[in-house]
Amino acid sequence: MALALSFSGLTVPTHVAADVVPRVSEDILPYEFPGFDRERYLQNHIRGCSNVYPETTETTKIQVGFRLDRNGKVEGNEVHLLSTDGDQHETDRAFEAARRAILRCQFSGGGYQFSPDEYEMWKDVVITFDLDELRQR
Amino acid sequence: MMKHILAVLLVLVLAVPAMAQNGPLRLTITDGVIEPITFAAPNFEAENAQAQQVASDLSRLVVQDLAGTGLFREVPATAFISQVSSFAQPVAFADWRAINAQALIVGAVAVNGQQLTVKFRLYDVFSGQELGDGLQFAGTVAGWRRMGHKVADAVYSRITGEGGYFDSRVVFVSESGPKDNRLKRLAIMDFDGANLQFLTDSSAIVLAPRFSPNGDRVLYTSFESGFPRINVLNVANVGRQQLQTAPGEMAFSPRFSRDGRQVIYSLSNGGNTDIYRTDLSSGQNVRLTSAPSIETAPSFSPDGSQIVFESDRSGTQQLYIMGANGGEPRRISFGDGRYGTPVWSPRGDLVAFTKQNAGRFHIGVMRTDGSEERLLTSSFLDEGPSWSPNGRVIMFSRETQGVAGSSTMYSVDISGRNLKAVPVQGGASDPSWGPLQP
Repeated sequence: MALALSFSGLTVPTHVAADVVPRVSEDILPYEFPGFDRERYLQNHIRGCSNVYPETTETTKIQVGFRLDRNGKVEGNEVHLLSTDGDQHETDRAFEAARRAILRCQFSGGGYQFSPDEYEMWKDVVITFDLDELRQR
Repeated sequence: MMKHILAVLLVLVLAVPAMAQNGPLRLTITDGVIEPITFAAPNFEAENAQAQQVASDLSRLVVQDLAGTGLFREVPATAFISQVSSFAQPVAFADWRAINAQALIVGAVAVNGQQLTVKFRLYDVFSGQELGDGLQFAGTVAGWRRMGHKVADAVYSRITGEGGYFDSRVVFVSESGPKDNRLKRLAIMDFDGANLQFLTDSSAIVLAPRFSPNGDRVLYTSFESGFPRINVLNVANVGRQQLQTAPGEMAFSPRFSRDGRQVIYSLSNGGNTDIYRTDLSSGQNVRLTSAPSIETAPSFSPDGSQIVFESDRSGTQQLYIMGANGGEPRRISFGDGRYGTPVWSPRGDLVAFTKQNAGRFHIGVMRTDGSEERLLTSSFLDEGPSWSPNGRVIMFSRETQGVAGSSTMYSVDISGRNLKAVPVQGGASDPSWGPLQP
């Protein structure tokens, strides 16, 4: 019968991304304007890219962390799972969705847009995805 | 999982001195969108001339499987900026991002005589990375559909983080003839209706086929003798054995235990119906209920410790859960109407059921404590839910009204989305969805 085996990797160069605009749920004030709110900006941005699995039955809340480079891009495209209160199945599913949302959204405008002068204030990001609330939609 | 979390925490703790004085930017996401994940699947490369047709067919099957879930949407080839002419070609991620393809599936197919080799890679376009290692499947040309399903299962699993269900089969009752003289026989098919084969002839009425946990056998109720009896059928050679019952007893509604060694079923004797368990190797029977009411449709929990069943002991048909060895059951259904044919989900978190209320039939799910009941369908007659191997989809029978009414199998996502008919020629009812094939 069919046999599955893994084979060694090819070298795949990463190209510079073109600008893509995923759906953003509402207008977002640019950082140059007074009253710019970093948390709200990022929240609005990422929720527009967060795909919800409505049939999720477990109450899974996960926390993920990542570091942004000075261009507002996720360093190494690496998103880490920091905590979860769900089982393996729900956590895997939730983490994949969260990771995809964060990476996909960064291409809107060529990276998350923050003031370069305040890099220390926004370079590390921790996001809690609350699936229990997400699935109520 | 814990090891992974601890490792990440350790990295973060060690990195604390390098982190910003004010700490990380913290936020909570409690809102999102519901939309299919977009993917591009250029036709798989044919590595030799003999592979051209199967390469094209197989890539279309992968697309059909994924798009058919309702969770994925194909980006059509007409939108492609990049063309993938070779499996080894570097991926121009920018071109795929520009057309908003979140995932890219690249594959190649080779045919050597009757041997078929399929390999594929899956790319996460927005991170510019490969998602998992490349995989290769080897088999026969005749088994190309299975290999396509395996590729689709691997893609589905890597993107969603849960198991797939495409390389699986369904056993069901194939129906023909008018409603008042319907001929019924057991049939088996791939989950998508392909590769239909009949397992019995239509000389005797057959009901309620149930796959064994590893898919090698099927239990069903047969009226060969005039009375309902339970048969165990070997799928590979179609050999049959009958579960022994005493003369005058009627045995029906069987289901395997999770290890496939025992059968739970209903036995009707002297007007009373109770649930029994039989060990298939020793033939030893254990009576699990002993109430004057009708107890039937038992289904084990995934860990084998509990049984959900239907009973009319309260005066109407309701769902109950008891221990695997019997004991006092607890009622879990309390809504309006009657509940029946409960089936425990593969993950153990839900029970699927048939509900009849106000002249309509519904397929629904509830948690195992009876909470969060959700009705997924509504029609003149929906019944007999069966879970996909990953617990995301439910297949069931729908019968249309009237003398010319016929039975068709449908599937629906457990969110109630993506309701669709399963393409089978002729009438079809009583589906039992088998496990993922090895």
